[in-house]
Amino acid sequence: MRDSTTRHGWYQRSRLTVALVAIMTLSGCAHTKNFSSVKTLQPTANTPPRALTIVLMPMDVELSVLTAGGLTEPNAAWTKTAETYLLQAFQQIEQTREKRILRHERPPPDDPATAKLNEIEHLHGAVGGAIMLHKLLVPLPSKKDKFDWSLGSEISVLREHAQADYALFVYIRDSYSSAGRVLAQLAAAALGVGISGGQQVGFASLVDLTSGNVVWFNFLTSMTGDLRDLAGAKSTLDNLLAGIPQ
Amino acid sequence: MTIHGAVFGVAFTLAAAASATELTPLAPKFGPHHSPAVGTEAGLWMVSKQSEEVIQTSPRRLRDPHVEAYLHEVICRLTPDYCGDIRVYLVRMPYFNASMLPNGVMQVWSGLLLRVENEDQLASVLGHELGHFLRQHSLEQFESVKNKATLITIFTLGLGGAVAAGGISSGVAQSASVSSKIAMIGSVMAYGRGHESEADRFGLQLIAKAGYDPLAAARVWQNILDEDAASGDPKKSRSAFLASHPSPENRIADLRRASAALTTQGEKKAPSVSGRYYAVVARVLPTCFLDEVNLNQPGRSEFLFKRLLAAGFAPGLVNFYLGEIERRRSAGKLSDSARAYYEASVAEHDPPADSYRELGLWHLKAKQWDLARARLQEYLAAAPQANDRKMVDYYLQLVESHP
Repeated sequence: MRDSTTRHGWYQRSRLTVALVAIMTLSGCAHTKNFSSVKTLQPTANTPPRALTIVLMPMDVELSVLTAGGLTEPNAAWTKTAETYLLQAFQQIEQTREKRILRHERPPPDDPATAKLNEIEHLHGAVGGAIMLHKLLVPLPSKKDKFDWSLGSEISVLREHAQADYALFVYIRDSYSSAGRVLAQLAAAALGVGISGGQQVGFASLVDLTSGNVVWFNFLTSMTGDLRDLAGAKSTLDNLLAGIPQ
Repeated sequence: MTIHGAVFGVAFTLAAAASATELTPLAPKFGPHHSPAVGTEAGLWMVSKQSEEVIQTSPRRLRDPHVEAYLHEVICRLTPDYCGDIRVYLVRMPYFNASMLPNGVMQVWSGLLLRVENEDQLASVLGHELGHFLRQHSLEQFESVKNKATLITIFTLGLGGAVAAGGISSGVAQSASVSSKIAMIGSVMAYGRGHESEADRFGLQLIAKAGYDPLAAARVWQNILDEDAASGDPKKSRSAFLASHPSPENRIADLRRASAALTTQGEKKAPSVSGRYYAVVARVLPTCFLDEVNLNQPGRSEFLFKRLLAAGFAPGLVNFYLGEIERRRSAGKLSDSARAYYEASVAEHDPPADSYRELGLWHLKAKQWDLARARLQEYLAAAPQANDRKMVDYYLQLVESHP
């Protein structure tokens, strides 16, 4: 028996993981898939005129080792390195855009807004998982020619908290085969069976903070790429943010 | 299986384990202020930290700083050296459980507070969880799953090789592969039971050293058995952890044996502190009562509430909830026993206003208009801000139409 809050989190993660693993088996080298419901971004109406502002949510990144038995073992040091490089890469990309992008720092746990903001992050994780599942794996007839996912209007809490018009969410899971996994892959290949090695999967999505609508979504999978150096982080982020509406 | 599954799979429960309790003292596997920077353990801590952020702000957390501080104080008494390394959160879950994440995050379920009778019993449960933490059971469990998954992969590839070489049929290989996976699950669970008995031993050491009664640990389990027996259908409604684990009777015997050895080893034994325990947890017990009644397990709830009544805890409140059990049992019919409990409640010095309302509604149904009027008025006097005030006013009008 465990606590339901963690179990809930685990459930969400597990669904996401199932979707990711299933998608990964379809993917080759770096590959992205883009969905969008708007061409251009608009600042929120009725606010004092200001540059269109996008808030970058805390990036959800996890790097892990793929063990010989196929278990992913999270690696704290790699994850920390990747987070640092991704932020640096983000700053480089930001300089080339005219939009104002600010970073969202999580308020302390006892801040009244924290619970709500955490809920929004988790909601986005669930919606992002559903988009991947139903746009890429199991297409829903009702969503065939449209892209109309939404986090709902309660997202305005974030608009007020961050003073922004849009929020950018980034989710990346990156695994690297251990030596044992490489051996297992070779042995399986000799038998004519394919077992997966390390993979990079992720998505970025842009959410309108007035309506809660996901206005743009980009999905990335890659067999190559390495977030443990700045160049690799930059190229992953370039791929992830390619096609973001202007 | 992902890391998340592995971590939460070993978010240790109080699951029963039965094995001979040895008396060799167990030492923590790491020193105070431990914070792994690299390796498997660092990965587990990273994931646990994310879970902790969820727990901290979860609507399920019972945000009562006094009770959480009290729980932490007991932890500090048990492990003064590691006191600063442990965070404890009280979670609103009406079952008997506590769990530990590898990074020192302890979750105590609200249902536990209804099921321990004093600080000694509470300490024995917390001590058990500290055993999981200080003996690094999560890490060991993860390593064990990892190694076994590797073995399975090698074994499965070996079977594939045998099929390719024409040694065995693919059907045989497939069933061998499935059997090996079942064997792995079995072996991981057996490993978990070993951890349970080790945590029992470690917990006993801690509570004895802190001056608590080591026999309290066996008492906790005996109480759970008694509660199961009181549920009316012990087999069907045995607590989930008892259903899937070996008999707790052996565990109780082991704990008693080990406690006897500890007390005769010259550890000082303090009397059970139940007065202080109830004084602190009284702050959240009303929520616990409500959640317990809502589980609709009248046999169990009645057993728990009567024990609290015998301990002299908040009789006004406890009698009210005993009345609630009877009212729900009677499924809409007038229940004399419910009424008797509500009457007992309002005869105490601390009745909840709800007891007056329930009595008022009881008399209303019994068409005893004067008594109904008096009780409903007492209710509104005790709870002038009640959010069902309009409804009660309507009932009072109804009473007036029956002179």
